Amino acid sequence: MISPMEALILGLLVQKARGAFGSELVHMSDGKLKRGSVYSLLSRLEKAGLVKAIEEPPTDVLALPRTLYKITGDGARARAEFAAFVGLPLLDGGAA
Amino acid sequence: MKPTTMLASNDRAVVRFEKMVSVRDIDAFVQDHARELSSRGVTRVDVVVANQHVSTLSIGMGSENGTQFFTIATVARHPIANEHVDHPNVAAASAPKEGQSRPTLGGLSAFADFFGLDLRRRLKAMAGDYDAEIARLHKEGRSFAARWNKWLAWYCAGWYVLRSPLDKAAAMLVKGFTGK
Repeated sequence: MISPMEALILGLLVQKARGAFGSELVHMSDGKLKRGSVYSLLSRLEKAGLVKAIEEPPTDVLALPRTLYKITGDGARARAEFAAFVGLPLLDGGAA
Repeated sequence: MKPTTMLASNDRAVVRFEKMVSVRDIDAFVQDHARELSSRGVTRVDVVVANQHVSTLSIGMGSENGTQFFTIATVARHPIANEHVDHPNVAAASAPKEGQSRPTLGGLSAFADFFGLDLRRRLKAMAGDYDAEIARLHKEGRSFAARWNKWLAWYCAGWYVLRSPLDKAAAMLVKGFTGK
């Protein structure tokens, strides 16, 4: 079973079909996610196969590569299971 | 002045000058190394001066009356405001602040290489996001905010490094209790 914060991340990723960067997720969560924890949560979700991390090449010579996160089919199922288990709307306010 | 770093990959090369140099020096360097670069299959050269990407050059080979020569053309010039770079096309009014290079997180990315794969990936993902933000702020001319974000990125990296053992311990405890 995933944690509420992990369910929140999956909920935000469902809204972003093209995927989202960690900083975008922090911005979209209205302060529920913090920069100091979002990458740990994403790493845990990635290990569980619930999100997929794609490295984007740098846009110019000085830039660093960025990591784009996309939800997987297992991630969507885990989110739905979490919503059914708690019987409450998810933290992102969306339906499972 | 010789560039301190020169990286070549596939058809692109990056020539980095640590300090400000004149465009004549840059052109002279590229002219001198055109044969070597071309033999490596390089067709484009990105010129970076004091952490600012100043121009992209293309290298080609031509021949006239049986004599082969190298052609060097400028593909793009990027805005940079510093009087020491004395090419009229290079100096641009739209640059953020005079003589100020963009803060980068290359050091943080290198620092991440000291750690294991898991923590390294977290740190690099974070550095990439902060770097994009720093680039945006610098472009907008908000150099203080850009520098502030650089420090925030390092602070955040420190936090990830410190909490990494705690995360591992918590994961082991959860595994011990739940067996998963």
